Amino acid sequence: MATPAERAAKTFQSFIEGKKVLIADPGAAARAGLAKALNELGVKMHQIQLAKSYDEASRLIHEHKPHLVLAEFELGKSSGLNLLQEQRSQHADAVKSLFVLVTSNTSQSAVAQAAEEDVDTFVLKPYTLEVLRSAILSAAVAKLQPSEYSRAIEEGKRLLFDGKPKEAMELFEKARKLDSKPALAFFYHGQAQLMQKSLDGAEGDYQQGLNHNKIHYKCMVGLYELLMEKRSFVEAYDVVKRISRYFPANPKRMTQVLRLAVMTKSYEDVERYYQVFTGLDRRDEELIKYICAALVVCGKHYLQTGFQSRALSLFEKAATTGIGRANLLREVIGALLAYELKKEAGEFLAKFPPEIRGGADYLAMEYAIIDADADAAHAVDRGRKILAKDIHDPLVYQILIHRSRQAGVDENADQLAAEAGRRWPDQAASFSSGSHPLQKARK
Amino acid sequence: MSSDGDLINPADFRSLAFEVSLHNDTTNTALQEGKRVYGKKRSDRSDEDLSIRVLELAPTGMVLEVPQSSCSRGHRIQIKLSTLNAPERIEIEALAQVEQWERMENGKERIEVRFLRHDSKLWSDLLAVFSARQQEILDFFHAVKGD
Repeated sequence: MATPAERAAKTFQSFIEGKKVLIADPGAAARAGLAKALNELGVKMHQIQLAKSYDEASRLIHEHKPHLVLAEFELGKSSGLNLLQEQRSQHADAVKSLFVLVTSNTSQSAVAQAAEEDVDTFVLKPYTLEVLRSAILSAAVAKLQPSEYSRAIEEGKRLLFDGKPKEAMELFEKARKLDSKPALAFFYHGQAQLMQKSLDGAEGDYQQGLNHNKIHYKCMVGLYELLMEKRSFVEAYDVVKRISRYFPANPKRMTQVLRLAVMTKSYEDVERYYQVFTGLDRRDEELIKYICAALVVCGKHYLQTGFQSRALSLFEKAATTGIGRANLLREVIGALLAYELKKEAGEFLAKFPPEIRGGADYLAMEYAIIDADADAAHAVDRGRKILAKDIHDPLVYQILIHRSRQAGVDENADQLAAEAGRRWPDQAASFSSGSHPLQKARK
Repeated sequence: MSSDGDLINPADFRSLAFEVSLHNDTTNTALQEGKRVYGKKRSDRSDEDLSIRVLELAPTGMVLEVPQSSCSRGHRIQIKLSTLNAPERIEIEALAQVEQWERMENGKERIEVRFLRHDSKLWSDLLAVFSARQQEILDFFHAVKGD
């Protein structure tokens, strides 16, 4: 009578027979070791392709369509995790392929990303052969000989995909009785509820799923998205905070967290998220934009509430993180001038990169700072000189119009307002009013 | 465990790693602190990648990736190993024999070594640390997937 381990080995060997395998690892010795380990599991050496870089692995996946991929997380310019989607693009039925991450990177972000992406299993380096073998065989058995619970869920998912939510719900209800912690069944039941526009029903399902498993990723995300749809931002923020605690590396998630932190006025949280942000391995442009914007909004809040040094600290962080971003510096300088912090505004003006100091953004902010200490005549003269250089910026016009009226040159102010209105029709009202753009902010 | 009874504290996720140095008793050369040592003389060359990586752990030995010309099959080497980021630092010194040797395409060498003399309790402790971390991570991994 075969032992479970022997049966698992046989299952794997039947699965892998005649199929291609890819090992993607920048280390030659690591690739050799994994190939040897697979050979001992019954994989023939001619079935195994080796790749030392992401690009090479991607090419081999498209060429050979491997059913088993062993990938290192760190593959140079791209994460090995991205190969999962490439493999899945070659095998529409995910049940027929296996993806194993074999990596020394056990940082929270790496593990969380792997779980989020639905990798089949995760093996730490250095590994023992026993651990590697056990991980691969367990993943193979789970995929190829799913439990009754998993089968019911997969069948239900197929019905959902076919647009049959009622029939799918029956299967998920059956599945719930087949596992002691059926969070996944609750999640899909919730998805079926959503398809039938029952938001409350879906919310109940996700919550029940989380009662069984507090960190069930799909239930957390499902609940978050539903709360956003219901515009329950405070509750949504609570959920996304929880998600980001375990899945900090997803830049898209971070941007959602930041947006909600600002919307719910959770300004202290923004500073904590900044610390998380500084620890991230990868930061995309959108995330940088969001963190900078959040820091500036928080800074403005602290200026408003009298915490000047805290505001300056946040502005400093924003300027450092969003280095060279003119629009960011404009926001900061504008906020500081609105609170008459001219010296500090000048310090941020100095952060403009030299190569853009001849441009509209820099000249406009320089003008705003000079205007703060100048009399009307001097301010008008300065403004006209900027326009004479063919530099056109709404702020320059707004200040110049206001100062022209102050100087008693109303006809000139009217002409400028008309011209500015033509250039920027959506701001026409602000030009006509002639009020100072930065003094308005303080109110 | 965190206050809300979560499965694992995310702060526990720190990559385990090793600091490794090696002395080849057969050739009287060594790899220490990123430098080659010939007898008592330390090389000043800085253009070589002299890192040593632990690839596999076995009950009575291990597999290492070592710089080229560190050793050969049959050589006896002394290995000093220290864990980094483990719950408790483990330091092991062992005498081992190179059982398998293979040159890789990047010039480095893959060696399989068998211990001739080592502290078996310490080695078991080390294997247990890695095994526990593997299990911890798999538990978290499967919990969040909910499968």
